[in-house]
Amino acid sequence: MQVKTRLSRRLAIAAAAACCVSLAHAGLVDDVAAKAEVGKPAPAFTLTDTGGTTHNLADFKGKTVVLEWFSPYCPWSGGESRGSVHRNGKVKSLVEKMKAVDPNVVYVLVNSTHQGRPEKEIARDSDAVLATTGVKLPILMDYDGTVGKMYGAKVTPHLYVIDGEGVLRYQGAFDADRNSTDGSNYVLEAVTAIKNGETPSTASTRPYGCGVKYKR
Amino acid sequence: MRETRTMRPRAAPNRLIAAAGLLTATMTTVATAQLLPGVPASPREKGPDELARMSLLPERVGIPVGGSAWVLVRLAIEPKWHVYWRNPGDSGVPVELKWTLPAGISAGEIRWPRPEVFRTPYEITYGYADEVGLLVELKASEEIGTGARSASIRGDWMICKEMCLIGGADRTFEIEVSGAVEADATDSDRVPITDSEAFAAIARWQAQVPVAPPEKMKLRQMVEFPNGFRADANENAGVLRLSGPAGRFSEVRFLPDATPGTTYPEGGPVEGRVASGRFEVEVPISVRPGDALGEALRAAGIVCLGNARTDPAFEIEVPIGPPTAGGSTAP
Repeated sequence: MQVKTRLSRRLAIAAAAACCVSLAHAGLVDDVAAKAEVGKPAPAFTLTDTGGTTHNLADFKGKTVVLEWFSPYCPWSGGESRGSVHRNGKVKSLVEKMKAVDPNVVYVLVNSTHQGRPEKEIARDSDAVLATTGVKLPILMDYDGTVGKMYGAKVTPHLYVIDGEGVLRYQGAFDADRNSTDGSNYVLEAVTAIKNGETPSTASTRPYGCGVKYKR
Repeated sequence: MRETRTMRPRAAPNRLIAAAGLLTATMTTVATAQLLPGVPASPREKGPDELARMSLLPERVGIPVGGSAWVLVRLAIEPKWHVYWRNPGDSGVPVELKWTLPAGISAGEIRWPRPEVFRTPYEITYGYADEVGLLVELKASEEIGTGARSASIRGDWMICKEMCLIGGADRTFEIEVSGAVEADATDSDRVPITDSEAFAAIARWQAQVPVAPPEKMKLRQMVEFPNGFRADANENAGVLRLSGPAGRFSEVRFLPDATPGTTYPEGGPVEGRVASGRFEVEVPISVRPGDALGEALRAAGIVCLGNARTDPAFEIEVPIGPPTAGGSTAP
């Protein structure tokens, strides 16, 4: 299991590096990784979840994919607080509503937290959060931060919605009102628009949350 | 109507000072955040209710009928921790105040003092360390009756060092509505001073709040779109240009607001230049009308001279609308 995890991570890095090098050659980026942009193909990635399963973005072709940047330590994400979208029921509510609109929607968490802690500890703490929420979601480990930087993920929670063609359709906040438990929801609106063959009316918002503590 | 008002007794500041000394507002604290999982609790660690302690000045607010009064919400912040400005920057959440007020009393927007810039290897954010005072104006309607009423405020904040916590507190306080003041009353009659400590603190924080540029300063603020502006375009590239007298200051920077649809360069404040006593700041902006969330498009923020919290800072706001001749919009 451990070998597989390490190998797939190496593959993911290789894939990510290949992507960025080609973009850099095309003159789209300078020294930093390309940021995902709404309306353009979402950057490809391969990451392994805390259970050892490998996920490739291309595997989800034909399905709407929601990526949520996650940290077990941030009080707006998985941290123990009333603001935690995982602990206060917001994620559960969102997933249920999305499934009602589009049963094939894929919702995964991406964890780019490094914070100077061992990866195993972060994975264990992440699993512990999900064990309390009643919603089982894969937690994709991005310990090196390669995918997070490629997407320009700034905070947890920072959400991305990708359509079945692999095009990024929404990036930004989890919802419009961080204090509501069931407020207006940009992500649900994006998933609904995509299901109806429309372009989401709100494509980009300012995410709120804790800064992603990337590997330095 | 006016005659009725002038017949009412005037506010009696001296008597209110005495009253403030005798009466103490009821204070309650509710700690709402907990330590993060995996972080062992030790006796040395403070909870978020101790990392930022909220107090209200004055504790007994005097407002004349039809008048207003400033209230200061003060957060005393544990060393090395910080809370956030109205635009937190790369991450964070602004301090939030929710008022529960008696009928006839309303609260204005928070007047935010000039923030500090926090730089970490991960991000650049705007906020306050050590202490912050947030000023809010309470207003009494013309119809409100005189007398004391109780009110309360709920403060919520995200507080960070290397990690972040969510904290909050509740405070109850008293509002004393006094008789309306005479039309020719002086400012000190209009805003009854009930507490000299509060008066000093309010003045201290008021001096740190960015102001609208005074007319005589002739601060120029405009947005240009070199390739034109189209409301139906996915994205419009523009420049916010600011210029004005720099006084004795040799440094100038622009701190953007969070304005839906308009984004500013990454990497924190935009530094400008000072030459021959004038400052100039050029802020590249990107305007995506589709991301405006129903709000009017604008470029906004504060322009700050010098480096100290008390150095001058000015509110900037340029509406972005249909293009005028020359492809630019100006207020």
